[in-house]
Amino acid sequence: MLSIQNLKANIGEKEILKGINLEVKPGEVHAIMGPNGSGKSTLASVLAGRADYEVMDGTVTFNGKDLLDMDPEVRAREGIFLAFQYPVEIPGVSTTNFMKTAVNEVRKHRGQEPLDALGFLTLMKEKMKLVEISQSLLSRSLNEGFSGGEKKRNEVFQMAMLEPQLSILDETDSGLDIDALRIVAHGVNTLRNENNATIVVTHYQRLLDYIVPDFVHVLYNGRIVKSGTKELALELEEKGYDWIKAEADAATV
Amino acid sequence: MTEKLANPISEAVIANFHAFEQSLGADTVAIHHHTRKEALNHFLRLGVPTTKNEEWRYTNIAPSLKGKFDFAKTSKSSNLDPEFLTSTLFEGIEANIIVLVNGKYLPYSSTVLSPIHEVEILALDRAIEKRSAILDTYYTKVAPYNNNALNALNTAFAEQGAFIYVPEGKEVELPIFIHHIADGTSDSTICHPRNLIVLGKNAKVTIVETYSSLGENSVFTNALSEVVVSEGAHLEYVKMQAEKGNATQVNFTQINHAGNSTSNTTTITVGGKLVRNNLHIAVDGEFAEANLNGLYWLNADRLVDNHTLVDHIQPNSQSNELYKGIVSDKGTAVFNGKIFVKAEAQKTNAFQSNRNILLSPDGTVNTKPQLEIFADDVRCTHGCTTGAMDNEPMFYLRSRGLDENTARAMLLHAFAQEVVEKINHDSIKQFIARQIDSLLGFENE
Repeated sequence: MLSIQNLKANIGEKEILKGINLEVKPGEVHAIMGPNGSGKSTLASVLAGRADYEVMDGTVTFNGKDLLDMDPEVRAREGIFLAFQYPVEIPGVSTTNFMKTAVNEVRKHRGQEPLDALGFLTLMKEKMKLVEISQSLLSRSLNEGFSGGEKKRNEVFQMAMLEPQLSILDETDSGLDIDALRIVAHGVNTLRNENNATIVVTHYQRLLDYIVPDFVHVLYNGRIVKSGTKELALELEEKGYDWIKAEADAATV
Repeated sequence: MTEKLANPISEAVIANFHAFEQSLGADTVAIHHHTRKEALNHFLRLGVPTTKNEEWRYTNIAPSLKGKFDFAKTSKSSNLDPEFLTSTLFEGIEANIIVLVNGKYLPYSSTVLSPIHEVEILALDRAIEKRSAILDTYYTKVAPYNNNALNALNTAFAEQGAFIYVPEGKEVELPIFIHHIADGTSDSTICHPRNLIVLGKNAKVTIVETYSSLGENSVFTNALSEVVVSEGAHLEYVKMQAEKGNATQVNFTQINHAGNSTSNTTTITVGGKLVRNNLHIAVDGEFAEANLNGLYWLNADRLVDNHTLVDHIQPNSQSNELYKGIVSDKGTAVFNGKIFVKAEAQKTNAFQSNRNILLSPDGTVNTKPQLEIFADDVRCTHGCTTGAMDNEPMFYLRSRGLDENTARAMLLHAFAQEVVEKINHDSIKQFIARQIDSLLGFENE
């Protein structure tokens, strides 16, 4: 589904990603872990098409198509979804406002008929239950005055509405208490099936107790320096990142 | 000295003043001749403001005034099709309607539906006959003409406008629309519409002024409104300026507040080649509240200049000001917000905010708050921002599948809607929102 080869990306003059390789197949959950500043969020942003980053080298294909050649909205319509680490506040625009346009843009792209007001409302009600989010919250200005948990539940709500093939959760656990974490994880797990895939970007192992990964990759200094199964995450939780750093630094010397 | 006498505009004004007065009815001349003459002299003394005048630094109106004082031309009555008038502007909203074409009252297009005990709506020249006591009390007293050239010019040449009088305790159910149409179909023209709006104690009314223009010849509107909001009264006031690129407008509005009264003034400017608004509010009563909202949308090489002045004279009063602008192409926006708090006006709350989005590197915004505070126990805040659209909200919406244009239109709609929402009248608000959205390319289902 997703194939990343030798991906290098800069922000300004600074090289952040120094050659990433990653294969994601349908039905899989991949966790990207790593210390602060290792390039985890950059990878998520580059995949979603954020303009602040410049891709210097490498290829990313999504279902055989060149992802890097697509505008962010085309990526979304093709089935990529980024759950933001810091969901932006937009005064005057409610989730309901833009989701109707978003859902119908995605449907159009997939050759489906647009939803009418009733169809949209029915879909919304169904997905709201999943993340225990209220209609009133969705009618308010996006993320304005939302708690950390409400922001992240809203992200997963949008994900549920758009039914992406590849969801990228960027530090979705940051700022969440344990109850909110459970709700968010329940939403993500419910949406999982054999045709879609998830990339979970996180600093801590905690989220992976709830969203259990098939593969764990450790990103350090712009490269994936170690890959393994969920046991690797537990090892990191126990021992921290220093041993990985030491290993990686020794290898590059 | 000689420079002023040689001013071609002044010469043309003098040459035409006599002809203008002759054209007025004999009675009208008798009543107002002295005032007009005096105003004319003030205008000649003050002269057309130039960009050397700090208050007019960015806004040069002199070129638009040239050649506008050929009286034979400007006095020509308009051949406007009444069908056009009745079919345009706020269709579908039940309202009292006054239509002024080139400053002249069009009786066959105007309708008064509200009963006379609720509100008296007259063309200004009729009010001079019927309501001379009110005229004597307020006319030229609310907005003096001895210190403002354009007000002096309006006072010298004003023929007609709307006279609105709401008696004590009356709430006017239907809104009142004053449609100003500058018709440049057959010739270039100048007009000086003049409104006198008086709310008695505890009276309540919604007034909407619209400005539009026709034809290809250049038109100049020099409008002046005097507004009195008595003790406990409430005024909902909307100005919708949507003239074409052939139009220049100078619009002066003076609102005088008594105690416990409120006003909510929303100025929306989406058209006109050059528009200069002066909104002056005297908050001259305890517990009075003035709200000033403004929205301007600029494209091409248009200019919109909003000068506001809120003068807090008595204690415990409040003002809230929010002006927002969207500037594209080579548009120029000017905002100057003066807040005066007099020494007696303790416990004043005054808020001011001016926010601009620049969509083009060729656009210009000149914004200047000007606070002069002489009381020590007050709360005054002001802020102004000018910047391009934020990238992050754009990226967020695009990452959900919205294309760039749709995302931009949605964000601009949200930006503008904050001002439109301030209008306390649903159908008027919706009408204006639709107009703004169509300019911004926003489709609302």
